[in-house]
Amino acid sequence: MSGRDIDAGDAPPVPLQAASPSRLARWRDSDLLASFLRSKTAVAALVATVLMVGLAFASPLIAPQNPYDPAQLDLINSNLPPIWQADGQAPYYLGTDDQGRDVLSAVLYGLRLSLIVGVLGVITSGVLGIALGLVAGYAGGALDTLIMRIADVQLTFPAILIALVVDGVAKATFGSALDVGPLIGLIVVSIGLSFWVQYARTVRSSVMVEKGKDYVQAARLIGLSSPVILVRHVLPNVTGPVFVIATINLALAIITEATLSFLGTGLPETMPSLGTLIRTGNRFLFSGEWWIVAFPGLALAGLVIAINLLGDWLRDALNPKLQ
Amino acid sequence: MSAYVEVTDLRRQFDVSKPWLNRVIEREPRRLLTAVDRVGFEIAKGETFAIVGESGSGKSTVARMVVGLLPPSAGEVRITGISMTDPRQAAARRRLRSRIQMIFQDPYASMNPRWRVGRIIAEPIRAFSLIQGEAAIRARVGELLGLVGLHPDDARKYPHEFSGGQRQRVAIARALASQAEFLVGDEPTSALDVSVQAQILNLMRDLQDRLGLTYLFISHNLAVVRHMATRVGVMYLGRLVEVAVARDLFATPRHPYTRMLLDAVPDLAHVGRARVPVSGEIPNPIDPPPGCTFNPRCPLANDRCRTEVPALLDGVACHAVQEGRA
Repeated sequence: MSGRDIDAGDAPPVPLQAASPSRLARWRDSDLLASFLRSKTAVAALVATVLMVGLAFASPLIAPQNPYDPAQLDLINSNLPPIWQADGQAPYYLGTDDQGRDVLSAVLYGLRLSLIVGVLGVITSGVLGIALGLVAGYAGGALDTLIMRIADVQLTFPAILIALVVDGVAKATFGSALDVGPLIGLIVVSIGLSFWVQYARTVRSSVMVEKGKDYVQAARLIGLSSPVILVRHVLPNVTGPVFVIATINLALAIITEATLSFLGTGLPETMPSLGTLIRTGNRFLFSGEWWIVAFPGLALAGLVIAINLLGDWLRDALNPKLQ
Repeated sequence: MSAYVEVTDLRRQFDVSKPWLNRVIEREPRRLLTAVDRVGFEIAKGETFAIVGESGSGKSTVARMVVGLLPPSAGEVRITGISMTDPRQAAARRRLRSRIQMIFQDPYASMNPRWRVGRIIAEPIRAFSLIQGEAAIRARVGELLGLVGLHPDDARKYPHEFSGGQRQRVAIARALASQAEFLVGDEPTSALDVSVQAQILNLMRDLQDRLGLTYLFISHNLAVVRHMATRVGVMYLGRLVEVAVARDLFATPRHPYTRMLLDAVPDLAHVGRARVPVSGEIPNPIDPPPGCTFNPRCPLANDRCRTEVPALLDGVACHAVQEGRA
């Protein structure tokens, strides 16, 4: 403790590189990418997901038929089996249903609707849950208690029940003749209200850890307001687990939508999602037209499994304790 | 001229009770922990006032109250005459805000890990709108990095690319970015290697000489305090037991606690002499001993010490000293 010159020993560091690597280069060198390429399951799941999402959103271009357009349906073509069976006809590769609707086209369009509803549902529940979790964790006290008790109560209701209640209330308020747009909005809100708790709990616990750290105190010292500190400093440091939950919840949201549609409170038969298709196809299962229900079911199962595998990999890859 | 920082009768209690429902069921009263009790001191412009004490003595709580991160339960902090608590002086306090900054103990937790150092240092400049224009801000950040002995190009790195000592330099640069004139260091070197500690302390003294800074320096390390402080306050269980000019405190400690601490310090001049180890432990602050809180460990304690709290008179709070028994 005697010398007073500041340059002794711990000399000013020479810059190690002329510039820090770009974002792209850092991503290329990151552990996340390496771990992704090592996992064959993750790569397969991603390929399957991207393929299905791509096909779904290209459906107006590639589907043989527009299943939403009644003018394109012909009862003469009803109940055709898939192409590899004796009565199969091109272009109805996966057969047709009782209205002469091409099953492949309906699955592609239905996949797109299911994905849209799932993604919007995840965004709604994520935004709601993250916002409430941030507020609860940062404010603490009575507000925290209030939000978390609501979350506890929420958890005692199954997601489907909440969705049915929201659906019932909305139909009682607006009448049952809702247009497809508002109907999608209704399902998205139902899913959002069912799944926010997980985000809120995860974010809240991360926020409680982060808010005690000195970088948050330093931000308070320069007079930043709480909302600014939350969004600018705390939020970016708590998003890791949120991505994992969002991926796994995407699969759950798609299943919830399918279940609602299967139960008849989701999307109408004229604009079918995968769930609606399964519901209508179910009626023909015992009369031998298995393809009407089987292909939507396979598409739903494939999509959900692929997304779940991705979510599992992401959870393991982002968990430092498993490395 | 009045003091730059005036702290009067500062007091802080924490509620450590069980949750409300448990209290009702178990019929327990609310329990309060008095972390800081009637602490008062003044800091003149340009000096370094150090607070030393064991873990749990309340020194960090004092630091947090002085900068305004923690509201006091009672008492007042005035900086350049402006109260840090009075709601009527909120506007004046906002203008003062940029001149008070803190350097934290853990340089690994005091910076947002997802921000580049340049953005971290620029944040106070932007928050207080001190400089307009991106190029000017970047130039100022480079200048600040140079001031603390880093390279302007380091602005492009992330905090995890630096060592502990270098990060503490970044923290100092951030504190200076808002043109601070009063820095509170809450054990700024205790997380660092001994060799790096000296460099950070020398940097702080060097900056003090160059920029005329005023420091409140919190530490449990007597060697560090001796190196840095103009005046020293010794805290024990939330109370200030002795305040003295640093040279006098180390030459002629008066309070029995200060003497005990200094006797325990290894000293090169007295190799071979048996050191007196610090005896006893700091009592539980939830249930402090009556009278002088030091009485269970004090060799000079008598009945008066066990019943009556000594006031800080003439720089020392001790009955034995005031009665001439020490």
